[in-house]
Amino acid sequence: MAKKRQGVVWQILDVLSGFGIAVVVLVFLTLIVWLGTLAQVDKGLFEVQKEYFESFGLIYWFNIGEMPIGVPLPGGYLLMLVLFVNMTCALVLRMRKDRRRIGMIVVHASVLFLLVASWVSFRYKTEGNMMLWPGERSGLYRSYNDWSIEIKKLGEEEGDVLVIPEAEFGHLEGDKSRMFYRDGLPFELKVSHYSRNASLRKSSEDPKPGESPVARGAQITTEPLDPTAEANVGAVYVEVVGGETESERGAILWAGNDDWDHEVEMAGGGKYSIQIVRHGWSVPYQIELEKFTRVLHPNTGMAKEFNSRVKRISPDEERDVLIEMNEPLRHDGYTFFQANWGPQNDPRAREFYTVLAVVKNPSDQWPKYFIYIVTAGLVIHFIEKLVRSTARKSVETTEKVSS
Amino acid sequence: MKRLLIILLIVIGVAGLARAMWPKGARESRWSSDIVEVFETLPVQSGGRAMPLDSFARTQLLKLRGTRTARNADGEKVPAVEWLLDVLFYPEEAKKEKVFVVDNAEVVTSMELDLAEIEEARNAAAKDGKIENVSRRGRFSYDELAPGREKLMEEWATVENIEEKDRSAFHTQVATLGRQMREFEGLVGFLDFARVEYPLDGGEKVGVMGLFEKEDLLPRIGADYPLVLNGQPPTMPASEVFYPAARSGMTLYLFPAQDADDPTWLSPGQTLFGSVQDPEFREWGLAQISMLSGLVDSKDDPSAFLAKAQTMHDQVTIRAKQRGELGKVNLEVRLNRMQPFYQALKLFMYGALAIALSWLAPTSSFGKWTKRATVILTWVGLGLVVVGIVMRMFIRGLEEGMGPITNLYETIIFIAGFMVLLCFMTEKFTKRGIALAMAPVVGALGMFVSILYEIGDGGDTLGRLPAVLITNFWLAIHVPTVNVGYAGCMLASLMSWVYIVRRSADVRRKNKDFFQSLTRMAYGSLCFGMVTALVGTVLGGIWANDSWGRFWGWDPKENGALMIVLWSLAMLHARMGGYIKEFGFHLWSVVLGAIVAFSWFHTNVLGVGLHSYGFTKGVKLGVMIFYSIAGLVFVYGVIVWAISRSKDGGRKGDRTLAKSEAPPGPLATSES
Repeated sequence: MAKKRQGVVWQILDVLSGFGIAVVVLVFLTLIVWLGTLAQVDKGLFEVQKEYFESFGLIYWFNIGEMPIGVPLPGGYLLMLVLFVNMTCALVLRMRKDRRRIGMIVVHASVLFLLVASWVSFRYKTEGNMMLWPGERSGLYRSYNDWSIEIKKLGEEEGDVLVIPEAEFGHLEGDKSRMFYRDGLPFELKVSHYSRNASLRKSSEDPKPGESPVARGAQITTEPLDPTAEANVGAVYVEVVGGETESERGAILWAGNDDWDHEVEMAGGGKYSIQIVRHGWSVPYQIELEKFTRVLHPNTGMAKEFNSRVKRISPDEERDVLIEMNEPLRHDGYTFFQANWGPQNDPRAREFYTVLAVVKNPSDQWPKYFIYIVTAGLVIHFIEKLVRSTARKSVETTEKVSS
Repeated sequence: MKRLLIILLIVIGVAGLARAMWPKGARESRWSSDIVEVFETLPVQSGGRAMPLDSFARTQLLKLRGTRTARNADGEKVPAVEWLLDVLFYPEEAKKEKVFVVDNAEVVTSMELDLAEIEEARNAAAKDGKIENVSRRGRFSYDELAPGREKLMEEWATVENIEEKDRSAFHTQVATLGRQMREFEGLVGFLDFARVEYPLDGGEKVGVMGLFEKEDLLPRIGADYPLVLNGQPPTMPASEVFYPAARSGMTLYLFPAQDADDPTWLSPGQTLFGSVQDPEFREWGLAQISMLSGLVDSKDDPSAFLAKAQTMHDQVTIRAKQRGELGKVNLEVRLNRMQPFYQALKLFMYGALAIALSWLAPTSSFGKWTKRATVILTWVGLGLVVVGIVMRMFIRGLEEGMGPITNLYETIIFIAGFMVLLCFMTEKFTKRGIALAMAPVVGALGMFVSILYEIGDGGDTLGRLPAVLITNFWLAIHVPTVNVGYAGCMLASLMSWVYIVRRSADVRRKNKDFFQSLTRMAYGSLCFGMVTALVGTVLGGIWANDSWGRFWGWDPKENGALMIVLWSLAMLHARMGGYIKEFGFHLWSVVLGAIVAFSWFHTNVLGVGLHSYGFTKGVKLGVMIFYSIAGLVFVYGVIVWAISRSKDGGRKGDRTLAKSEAPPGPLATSES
């Protein structure tokens, strides 16, 4: 065994690189993954992901009889961070760097690489979808889960003026409010009473504390979150502050219906639309759907094959591409997958739209590299074991013969 | 005593063999063996694929009765295809057969069935004068349930609005019975179009072929279709009979389309609709309909019936061959006749019996021969499993990737087969007889569970795959790899069960070699399972990333595989760090088995995620039983461990945390 180094720092590093921490983290990770999996039944994937797997900690509640008991648990993010530190320290400080351990060193290093890939994906990946009818063209894909408030200028100079992502207003529940402004925008926007999933109820009474103001005879009612995050319908109350306008200043924005987008016409000219929509990202080119094809297994409603013939249009190039299941279009850091189609419940439908899942992920191909590295590590390890075992047997045989 | 036991077991074995070989009395049947063979091999299309009628009949029986064979009035087994012929050609008799199993009394109450009336009718019809008491649980015929049909359908409509995970036993039974009655109605009414009479304008009534002879009427019947579609009364009296009869003939697709490039097969109902609507289609359509109509007319004349059936069989076979579908159908006929997994179950059971016999006199020549018999029987059983898997791959065909695993049923077969193989490999290196003894037992258990699953699922286990599961390189290697991982980890866990049970009979660990050997085997199996589960899981992520851009989606199935990897790694590191020793390793390994069961089956019935295949009957119960047994083994193990420690005087060594940097190798030779 390697000689122990003295000093507080070395002792800390010794603990950090130890098997003890590895075991505790792995057991807790198993527990968190199990509890998170079961919790998906009631809470849905999106909420569970945030609470269990992407958090530093959580309180897990369960009942003994009628009494609720809360147990604090480490979150997946914290556990993976500790695991990363533990493995790094173990690789650098604890594992012997000799020929016999090359394979295991490679395997451990590859797992570290996979953890880094996961973090890069978690931090920098954007994913959403793009729905296109035949002949339609788009350069924008929208998130499955996150909302944003978009203020657009209408008319001749049409275009985005201000996009407020959910991260900036997601905490503004009840009477909490925040002002948003931008150079060139002739008004400020006061945002409050955000609800991730909401319905509207008719109302003409003055709002009670915490309730949204009444707009167009309605108020926001917060609904429980749907386990399927895509099914939630966001709403928020906004108030146009400053500038001269005769338009209604206060408005409810509700994602359930386009009627609840708000329009503001400024006295000095300029018309603006304000809406709550799924957060969108631009692609540096356009995708146009030429034809969507679906083939069903005979006499069933089950798709055997579906694909989209699209045109990828850049200022300097137009290219026809076929996107099918398991054969995505990858270009310029973005990947377009054949995800869905519709309308699926209308047997008389003759024209279909396509839904393409769009992903931008810098670590897109890293798991493949991991597989190559870990396989190499395991092969080295097992070959080394085999060689050693054969050599040992040969020595044993020689000893037997000589004795 | 041992000799007495040997003699007793030999007598039981010989008696069983004699019973199996004894010629059985000829069963009375209205269908000759020639007729049965013609229909058994008749190609049809169902669930989007061509299959022999026998497979369709078996699936229907599984759905309705939960068995692969029916029983006649004398309690004798009736092959599925004969049962189907009875249902199709003698529907009124079939409606009197007690096909439907009701195991929830509340359902009968909600249907407002008059049990006294049913009981009276049964006793009046009983040939042997045997008095029968009818309870609210049991088997019922269609005619007995028919008075409560409307109530049942209303209840079913309500149940459909309740999510499957929230359904009670009553809800599940209502939905099951409702679906079964509908499917049965689809079968008994399938040939109604050839049985009913169609009223003409002048009060004259004709059969289906007679109707099509009145060519001037056909456009008028065709013109009634929009009215019927909108629920309005048709203008023609013939239409009133034609449309319901044609609609009932939709259950089974019997006729390959005219164009050999068209993968669609047509049902009699579609053919009738087409013949009314399209004059160009009519000649071909009527030729098909006349074959079925002829069969119905000659059902009581066996030789005429056989001749007509043979003609239809020949025509369909030729067209199936032109489309390249006949080879698969014929292979499936062979698979159905061979029943490799059922035969393998029997061989594994004989193998288990033989190894049990060998323990009575292990060192004698009898012991050696029974051991050899175990090896041979188990290898042959494994061979049959492989043959069955390969045949299924060829039936599915290249266009669907030919992977050995495409559904949960196939995972059971594959994993059981692989565990048997792993046992043989382990035995090859250890030569202690432990793994050899486990091989037929895990094989038999696996085949038994596969049969239970098939019955609970009640569907076509060779069903078509959705687009995303067809042809992807990463998917093709991910699924077998991860299942090999399941096999390795589950086998390690089962070895730990054996360890704990044996250790309870030897708390002082006198038979040190045996326990060390068992521990090494479990350890090796765990390492193998962990590595393949890890690689398989990442391969699954790569497939998901290639298919929809998401390497990891926290799907329950993915999480289950991840849990196996994490727990296995925790075990290995805990052992390397000296936190657990031999007994601790086995206790953790028991937990690993429960995790494998969670990942393998439980995640599929949670009702969330991409691997949620619906609520196959009995899966949740089966998983709960496994958890309970594993829990009992764990608790029992802890007690045995505590006793063994107290007998050893709580040796300090057990508590010492050995800080080892040694790489994984054979476990410590002592617990001290």
